Amino acid sequence: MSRRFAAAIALSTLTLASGAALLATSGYLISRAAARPDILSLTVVIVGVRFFALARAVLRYLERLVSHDASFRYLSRVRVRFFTRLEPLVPDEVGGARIGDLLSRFVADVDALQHLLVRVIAPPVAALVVGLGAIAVAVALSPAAGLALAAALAVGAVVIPLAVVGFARAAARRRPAERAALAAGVIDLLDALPELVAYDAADDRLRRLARAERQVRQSALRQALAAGGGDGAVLALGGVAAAAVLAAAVPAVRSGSLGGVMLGLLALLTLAVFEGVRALPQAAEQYVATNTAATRLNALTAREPAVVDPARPRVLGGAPALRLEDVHVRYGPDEPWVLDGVDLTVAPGRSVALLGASGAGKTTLAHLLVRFRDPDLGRVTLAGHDLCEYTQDDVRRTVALAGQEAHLFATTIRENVRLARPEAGEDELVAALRRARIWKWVESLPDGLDTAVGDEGGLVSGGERRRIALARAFLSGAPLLVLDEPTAHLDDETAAALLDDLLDEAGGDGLLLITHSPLRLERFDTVLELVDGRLAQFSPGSSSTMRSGRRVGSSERT
Amino acid sequence: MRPLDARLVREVPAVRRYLGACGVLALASAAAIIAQAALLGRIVSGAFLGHEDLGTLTRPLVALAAVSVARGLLGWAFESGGALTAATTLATLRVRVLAHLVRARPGGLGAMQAGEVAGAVLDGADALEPYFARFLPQLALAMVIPPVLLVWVALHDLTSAIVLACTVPLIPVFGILIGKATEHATMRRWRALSMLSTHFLDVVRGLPTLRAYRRGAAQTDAIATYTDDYRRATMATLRIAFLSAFALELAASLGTAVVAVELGIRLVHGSVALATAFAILVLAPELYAPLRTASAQFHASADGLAAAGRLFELIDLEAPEQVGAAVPEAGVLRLERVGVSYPDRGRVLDGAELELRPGERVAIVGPSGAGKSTLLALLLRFVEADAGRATVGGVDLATVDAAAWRRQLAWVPQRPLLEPGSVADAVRLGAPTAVSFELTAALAAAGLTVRLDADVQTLSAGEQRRVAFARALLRDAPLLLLDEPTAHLDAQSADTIIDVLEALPRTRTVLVATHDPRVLRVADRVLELRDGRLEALEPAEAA
Repeated sequence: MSRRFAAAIALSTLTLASGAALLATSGYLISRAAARPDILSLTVVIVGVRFFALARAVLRYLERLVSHDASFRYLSRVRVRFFTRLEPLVPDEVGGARIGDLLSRFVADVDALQHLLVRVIAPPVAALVVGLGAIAVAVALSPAAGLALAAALAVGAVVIPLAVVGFARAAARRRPAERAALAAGVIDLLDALPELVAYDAADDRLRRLARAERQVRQSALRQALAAGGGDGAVLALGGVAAAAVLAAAVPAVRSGSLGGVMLGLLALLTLAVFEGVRALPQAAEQYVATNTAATRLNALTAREPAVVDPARPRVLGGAPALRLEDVHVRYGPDEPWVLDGVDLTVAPGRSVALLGASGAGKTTLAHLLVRFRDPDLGRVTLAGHDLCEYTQDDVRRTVALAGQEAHLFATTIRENVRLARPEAGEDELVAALRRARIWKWVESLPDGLDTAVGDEGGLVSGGERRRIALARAFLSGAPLLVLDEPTAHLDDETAAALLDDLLDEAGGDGLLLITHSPLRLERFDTVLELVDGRLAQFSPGSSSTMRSGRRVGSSERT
Repeated sequence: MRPLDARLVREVPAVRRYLGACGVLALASAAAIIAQAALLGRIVSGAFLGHEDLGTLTRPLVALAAVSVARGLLGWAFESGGALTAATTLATLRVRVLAHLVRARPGGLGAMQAGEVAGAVLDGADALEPYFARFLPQLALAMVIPPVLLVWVALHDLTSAIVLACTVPLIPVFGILIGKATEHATMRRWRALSMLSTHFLDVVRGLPTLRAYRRGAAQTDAIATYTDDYRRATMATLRIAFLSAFALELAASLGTAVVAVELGIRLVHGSVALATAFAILVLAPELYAPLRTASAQFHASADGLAAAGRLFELIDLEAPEQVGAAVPEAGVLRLERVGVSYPDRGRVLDGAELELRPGERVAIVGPSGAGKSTLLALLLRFVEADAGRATVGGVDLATVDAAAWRRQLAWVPQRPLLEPGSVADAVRLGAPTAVSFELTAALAAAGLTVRLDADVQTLSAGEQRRVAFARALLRDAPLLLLDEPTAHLDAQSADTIIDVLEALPRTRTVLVATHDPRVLRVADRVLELRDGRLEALEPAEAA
């Protein structure tokens, strides 16, 4: 734990202690005063009251500054730590079809850890230290009162938070499933809205959603009752504890072992300590949330990277032909083969089109070619040597993948394309965009290349997004291009024109096009279809693997 | 920045009820707090100055414990009521927004927008929850508890009441003054925070792309630099923004101290009783606490209201009025100089004329983007004509009950999207009462042999199109609207569909938008959509 963490916790403890001291000395002050002593004899106590009042405000301000600073620094560290662990696992050890959702949750989980200090660690430490101090004071004055306070604190600071943890765990288990059911209902309704309206079924779907809402509400109520219960119990316990401490102290006053002037101090000290305890049920809830996030993160990043660079990498040279030789891939030892003996060559100057139904393994095949994963059996070679002998960077410099999951970053079109080759000049950039048949559109924008694409490319259409990603692959200068569904979201004419350009200007590049569309297949040197894990020559009559994506819920969101 | 949205109260009854309950609960809490303070004063004073023993003090001690338990129960009701209201309000708004979208955008939202709407409808929950569960109850407490406590103090000791009355308003006044002074800085801070988390999210979501272009590892430094930059910028503004919290804290602390000292001095002079003085001392921090907590929750209100605002934007989308003229039986469908325009595409249909008699088969051709799908959307009442009119049996389509009219239609969209579920459910959407052999027969007619309980998600897009076609065939509707029924289908499947269309009995009218010359052979007439108008094509020209 860093010095700043310790300082933040110390400040938080001192703040709570000052508050308790303020109330305790105030209680003592007016009790002393009620005995009507010389007013000068109260001076020290009055100074104490003012000091603690000022100290509490100043300490609280410092505490907030230091703890926020420490939280930010901690956030920076955990982001870097988990990102470094995640990076070699993407995309093949993490994800699959739901990779977008998984990565979003990863970010939410990492960011949830920043509250660890302020909301989870500091409140219990402060309550514990100040509580123990208060017990010590009470015991010194009256052992019976000290015992009563200790008992009340044990319940308030240990039993109740533990109960909250139990409830929160149970709720945390239920909630995601119910949320997911609701989300699926909403997304399916929005996706299929025209069909549902045309077939008079929208009202029925709305009624179903209302039922799902009631379900979510039921468990929200259960959770609220539990969380509110913890808070209410501590609130009640504070007053009950004051009553118990007083009940224990009164006989001591009667017997003369405790000055009556101390009763006020004891009562207010008890109330003040419970102010600190009131933060604990929430801290307990937050602990469950943070802990769940940390567990998920560790589980996610504990995997071994599927692919590592060799100790002594081979230098890549010569005309690079990429070859799959009897490649087998499956997702687990007991799973069926997704690729079951695939042979394929992607060589400079040759074009290959690859068809196959969704889920047939086309994307997995593409990932083999850029070495996002290695085959379970068989091998992938580049310029005659196994891909494993080169560095991953060398492989990806030679083979560019414009995948279906191509992401647009929340920056300008220029930066998004330049990503592939930051040193590229303006004219190369324009050429790449022109080749992706999107330069005209870019040119027509008021800000041209400097147009921002929005969060997750939200300001551009699906077709524009694919073409920007395509321009990125062109700019990379890689001699082998693997393009996964570049024409999805385009109308047939534009799609056909884009494919014509692609083939006309391929020059010496090697091209592997993964597609659902039958457009322009006749222009490719080879057309293959992936069926049951094997490649076959494509025959138009038997195939029906074309698919059009409009679903928001799955492919569109990734 | 208002703390409470009047519209939220107006539109969601649960909010109104909850606000009422909050007021009552806050009053009861104030009473419990006062009782606690008075009892503590009574006990301390009795045991110290009155030399009472446990015998006479048992009753106030038990009462103190009982009042405390009551206060705890009130706190419980507050917290759970807030969370329940949050859940109820959200459920109400969500269903209302979606129901409104069904009326306002029956033709769908388009993929990007659907994602945004889904986000607003689903993730808005996270922002509205703290608003209801924490901010609103605190606001009620802050508005009720300080005045009530102050009145009690004034009734028992006017001097202390004046001291408190001078310091308590300082808190909201300070809050507002400093809030105004730091508003800019605070806004910048929230924006910075959200940008900060967005950047990390952006990088992580883009990791597959970064890896493909060898930029993955390079991001580690960028993340650290970015986070540290924002930490520095944010801390600079926080130093000022926290000043408002500091002022509140200081006013509360010093207020309590001043009251304690003032009471102490007056106790020495004998001008106030210990029981009263002690009770006031206990009340002093309770007076400040709700104000401090409420101002700390203020950002929850900003986030929550922004989320509610996005939902209201959707509710405010213009929707056509519900009209209810009866649908005439089997009349001629006519378009009379119809115009349709979209804000982003301009005029798509412009003076389109069409006459479609029962039993006719008419094909519409034209390049993509010419407006063929718009024409079908008009007939489906997904869009309304802004010039001319469409009539059926002489009755203006715009005055006809939309749901009843759509029951006359069976539509196969260009890119059908089936809800997740079984093939049987998907086909049954067209005919809810159909039995399984009818489903199988319809699927067979569409050229598809597939198990009825198969998951539609496992079907290829071509198979899904044929499921949608089977659904339209099975629907007991006289008018069949087909949008590019053979696009992206292989020759064999396309032929099956054309054969089925050819064999359809003349009780069904067919309007088909198509590119495909093979489909034209089933058409009695072919019209070309060009420049927003429909023109008859000679059969030779069409082929």
